[in-house]
Amino acid sequence: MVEFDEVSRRFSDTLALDSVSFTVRQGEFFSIIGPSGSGKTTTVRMIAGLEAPTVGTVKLFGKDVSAVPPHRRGTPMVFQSYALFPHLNIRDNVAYGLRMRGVAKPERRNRADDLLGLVGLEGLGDRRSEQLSGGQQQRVALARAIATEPRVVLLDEALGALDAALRIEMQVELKRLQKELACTFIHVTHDQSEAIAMADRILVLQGGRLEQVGTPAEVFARPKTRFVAAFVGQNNLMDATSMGITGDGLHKIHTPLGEFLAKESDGHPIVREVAARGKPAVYGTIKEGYNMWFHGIVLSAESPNYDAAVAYANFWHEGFAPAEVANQGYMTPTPSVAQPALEGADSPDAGVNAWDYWYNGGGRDRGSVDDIASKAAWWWQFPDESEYLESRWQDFVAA
Amino acid sequence: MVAPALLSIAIGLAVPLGAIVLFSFWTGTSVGMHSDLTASNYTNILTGGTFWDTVGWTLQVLVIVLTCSTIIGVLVAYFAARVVTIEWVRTALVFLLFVPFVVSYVIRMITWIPLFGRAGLLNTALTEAGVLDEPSDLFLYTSPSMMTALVFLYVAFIIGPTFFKLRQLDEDLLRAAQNLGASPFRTFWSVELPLARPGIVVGWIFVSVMILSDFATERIIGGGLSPLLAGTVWRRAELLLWPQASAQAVALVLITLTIAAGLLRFAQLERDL
Amino acid sequence: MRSGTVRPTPPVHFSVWARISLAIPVVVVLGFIYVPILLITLLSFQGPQGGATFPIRDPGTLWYRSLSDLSVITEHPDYLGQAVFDFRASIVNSLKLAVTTAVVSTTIAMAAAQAMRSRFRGARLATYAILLGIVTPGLAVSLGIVTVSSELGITAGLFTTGIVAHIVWTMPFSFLLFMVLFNRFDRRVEEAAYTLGASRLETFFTVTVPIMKPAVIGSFLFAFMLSFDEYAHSIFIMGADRTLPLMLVSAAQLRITPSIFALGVLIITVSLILLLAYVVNVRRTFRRQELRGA
Repeated sequence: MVEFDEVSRRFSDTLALDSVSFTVRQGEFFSIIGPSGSGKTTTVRMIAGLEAPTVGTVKLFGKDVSAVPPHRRGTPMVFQSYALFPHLNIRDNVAYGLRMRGVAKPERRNRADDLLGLVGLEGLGDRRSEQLSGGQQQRVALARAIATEPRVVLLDEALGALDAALRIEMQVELKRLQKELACTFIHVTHDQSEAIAMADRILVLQGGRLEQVGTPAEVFARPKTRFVAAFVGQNNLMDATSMGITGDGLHKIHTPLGEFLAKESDGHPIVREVAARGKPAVYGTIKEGYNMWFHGIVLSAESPNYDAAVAYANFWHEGFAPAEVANQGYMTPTPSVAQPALEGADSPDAGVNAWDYWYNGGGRDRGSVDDIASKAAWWWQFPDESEYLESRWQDFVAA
Repeated sequence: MVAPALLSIAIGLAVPLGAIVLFSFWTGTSVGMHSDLTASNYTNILTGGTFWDTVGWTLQVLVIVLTCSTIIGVLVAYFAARVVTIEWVRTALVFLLFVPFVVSYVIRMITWIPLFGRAGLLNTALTEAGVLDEPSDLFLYTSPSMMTALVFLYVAFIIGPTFFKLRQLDEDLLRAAQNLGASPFRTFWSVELPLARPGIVVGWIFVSVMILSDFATERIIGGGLSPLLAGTVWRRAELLLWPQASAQAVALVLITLTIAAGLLRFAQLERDL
Repeated sequence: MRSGTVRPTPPVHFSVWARISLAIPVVVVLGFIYVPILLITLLSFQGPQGGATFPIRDPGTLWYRSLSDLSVITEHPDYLGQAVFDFRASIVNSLKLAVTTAVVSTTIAMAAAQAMRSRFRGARLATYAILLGIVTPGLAVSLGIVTVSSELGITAGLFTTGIVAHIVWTMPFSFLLFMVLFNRFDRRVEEAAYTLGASRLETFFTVTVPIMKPAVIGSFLFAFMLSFDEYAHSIFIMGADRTLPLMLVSAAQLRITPSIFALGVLIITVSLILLLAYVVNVRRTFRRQELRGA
């Protein structure tokens, strides 16, 4: 329903968007993420018609909209700065789109009041926007955007100005609304956890280039590029070299944190390839403030310019640590992870790090190769990502 | 959308200015103009000593008035911006200082007459106190009185922009400067004054343009004895000597624009526009 | 600004002596503005025999009444046979011209400033061209206009040559005001309106203009006052329609009567009221915006 075909956008001498193609499906919650300057805002502004592509076509509902002005596109946008009309009260703000469509005054006021109820702001219609808190203003902006029952709603860093607690509350709210309205939300953010929490699919942009499109699980678990691994997973990346295959078919991999063994995954034959070539590969480690499970070693098959092996992991926000999982090798991130090479991996204090911890099964006794292999196998049997994300989502909503 | 604005500038400014350039090469008496081209209007101006005297005198007045009004204006702006700390007092003070912007300078000049005139309050008071033997013309109809009038007529144009620049400035800069050991004066001299410069220079542009265009003050307050450049243009024009007046007006416009452009460059206003 | 919060300590501390010495220029400037105004206010209540100087004899509102009804003074026994100025026609002329000028210059300045926001090619040049209206000496403009109109056979008057000169003078000020306020304007508010189905024109009238109301009113008032007070851009070109500043200057050169003071007091009072109303209005708007920012 929203289609980008080789779209580029040039601002004087910088290329804000470089030949980007993707499709957003009907009813989807689609997040566009990337660091600042990645072209994500340009992308969403092109959908709204506030920018025009330099090259390429943008299609809405199968039609090329290059000649359609913003007000005929039916793609209301929610801004980070809320952009409420300061001269109108809350009700008239929400009713603005209906007014532009020529809906009669009493009717559009009723509709606006209904919408204010939907976003939890009953009875505030007569207030002025400056009398509301940031979160309330953002709800008004949202109500204003959905008032005309659009098929697409655009959210440009819509939650960016809210504080952390409110942001999480609004994430839940947005997701609920999107499901209720069954409309497509296209959401721009620089916060990958926000995208993972809400999106059905994620588009990762960097420097105007498309890095990856996929479900949060795909993007998160199988980053196609080193950038995605670093940006989405917020991994600390480290270089690793395959040292060959052991007798029991495990890959022996050398990293600055020490050597470890990895079991090849069926879906990712590249492990073997990398191993065979003996070229450098990349593995993820953990970042402070996140907890992490290793699922095993998964290597990206589609990385164009890097013979990359990206170890992947799942992340939880701080404070979320199911006990039974912890028993099975749950790891606490420690600053020492970032420390380079460990010479004596079995030195009890200085060397405690994620890899070592995993390697040792959470204890101090180094297990046998078989133990490690079985652990790796076990981890590999961990519930698959979508299920896991769903369960995480449920926990999230419950929290 | 800019077209109406540019059109009105074209009709109201470009055409008339073009016309005076053209007419300044015509010959003319008070009866009418003739389109026989001549440069005599300019040679008359340029070779006659009075024109250069007037230009010199005008620039002299300009420099004196600018200097005085800058000292006074910056001090007043500084007082309103820094010394006053209570918000409503500041608002009230700025309001009072802003009034000259909206009250006609013609009226403000007239208001001076009862105070400074020959039969004015100041003269009466001084005579009765025995300071003066008889009423003096010193307060009105002299060059110093004209310059005083010009200073106080236009000082508001320096106070305003300087005040806004001073208020815009990040107060933490001042705290930082003092924290590093600068006295309030040193802070003012090395931090606030350089940062307020664009505001002061905008004031200079306004004041210069006002003074160069002013011909009424000189007549009403200055007594018409020492005409400024604009005043001489007016005298010619009143005599309907249009080509001669035009030639002088061309010189006036050129001098004004040169000064304004020079100051604009000095102000480094590019960013603000 | 925000009530209820602790005001931060002032960035610079002054001794009492420093405060007092810095107050001196302020007192001088205020003195030069307000002592004369006070004096003419007193003198405007002068009686028929007293002239334009003290002492005040037989105070009354005679000179104010004379502004609307000249006969109170021409037929006054104490004043028979003396020169009197009739300002009435010139007040009407000035009001008509100032209102028209203010409307026109606000309209075209807003359109121009709105266009400048898109930073089109040549915008800077156009800006300088418009601002030339402030910098060019009014006398030269007047001279140019009167010569052109007489060569072309156009009768000089309020709404022929007069308004042209006044718009050239007031419009750049309005334009500057709009430029400054448009700079503070959040463009996303308009973009929000576009995406909600408002065309550019609808957005301009339902969003931009209402938000820019302080600038519109400010521009109108400012242009009105500039035009109402303008002398240099009025000389030579008003033909038979003399405006108030022209009348005042010739009156002041001939003979100063308390009626000039009465007129001055009225004009100053009206200007003050308008300015005060505007300042209060703008401060309320800005406080609202500040609250939103907080």
